Amino acid sequence: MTDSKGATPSGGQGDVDPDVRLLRRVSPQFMAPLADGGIRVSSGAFQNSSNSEGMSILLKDTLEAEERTAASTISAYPSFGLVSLTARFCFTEDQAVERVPEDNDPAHGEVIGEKSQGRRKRFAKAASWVVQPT
Amino acid sequence: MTDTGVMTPNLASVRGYRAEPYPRSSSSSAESVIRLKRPIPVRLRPTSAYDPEDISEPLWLRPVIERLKDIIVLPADWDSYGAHPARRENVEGALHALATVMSEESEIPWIVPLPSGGIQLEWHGDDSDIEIALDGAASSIGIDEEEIPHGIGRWPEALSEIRRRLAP
Repeated sequence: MTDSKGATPSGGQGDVDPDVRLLRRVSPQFMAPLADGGIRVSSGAFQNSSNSEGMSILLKDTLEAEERTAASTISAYPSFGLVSLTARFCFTEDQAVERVPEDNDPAHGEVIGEKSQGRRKRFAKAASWVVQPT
Repeated sequence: MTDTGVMTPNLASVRGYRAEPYPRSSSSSAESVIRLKRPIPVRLRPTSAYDPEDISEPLWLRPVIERLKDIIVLPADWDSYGAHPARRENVEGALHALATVMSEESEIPWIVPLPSGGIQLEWHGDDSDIEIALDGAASSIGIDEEEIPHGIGRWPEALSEIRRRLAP
């Protein structure tokens, strides 16, 4: 079953291919240095937006179609980083991925579904850095 | 004072360790000070002749308060996705939780704000993965792969388990 936007209500693929990478900005509040020089991302970075069932992301395939770089999406956010998840991972966590283009960002989308603490921890472990703050 | 020489005064009574007041539009500064019902343990060396050096706070207390001060002044939308400022009840909840799970030399937690206005305490090690999310009705504890929602009987047991794991 799909809704009017083509996405299934929970854990469905809709029109987003499992291999599509999903990008999320990460506030420096969610970062902690690791002993090996890396930076850990807190699971708190993957909480749904307030009063929403979803978490905002950018779809990399749309960015590429617009010839935009991933780094350009955080140029207005000093000290922020950018992490990536695959849509496939989100589907395995019983999430739906929807394309929700906005006037100022056609690549905007949402990862929709309940995100318990355990699930947020798995999101944090699955995320990989695309742009790591220096 | 207990017979082990540990005093348990209210945090607000420990000089220099009052949390900064929240930015609020209509309240007196006295009302804005965070006061704890659960005491923070302050060690008082058992001796018959005390001097100021005999009193010390837990090693984790000062950095925790400083980090919470940083968090409570974060403005709305601090995460660029519409995050709320930290809610007073969650800051208090974080201090209560720490008073329960921390011993004098426990490892200082990584403290992060949550977009909902919550506060999350984290300890990550090679063989232990602990998170306490203070977030109103959505509060929860994560110990390794287990998740314990607030409001169930397992919560106090989980805090005891965390205290045991954090003990040096």
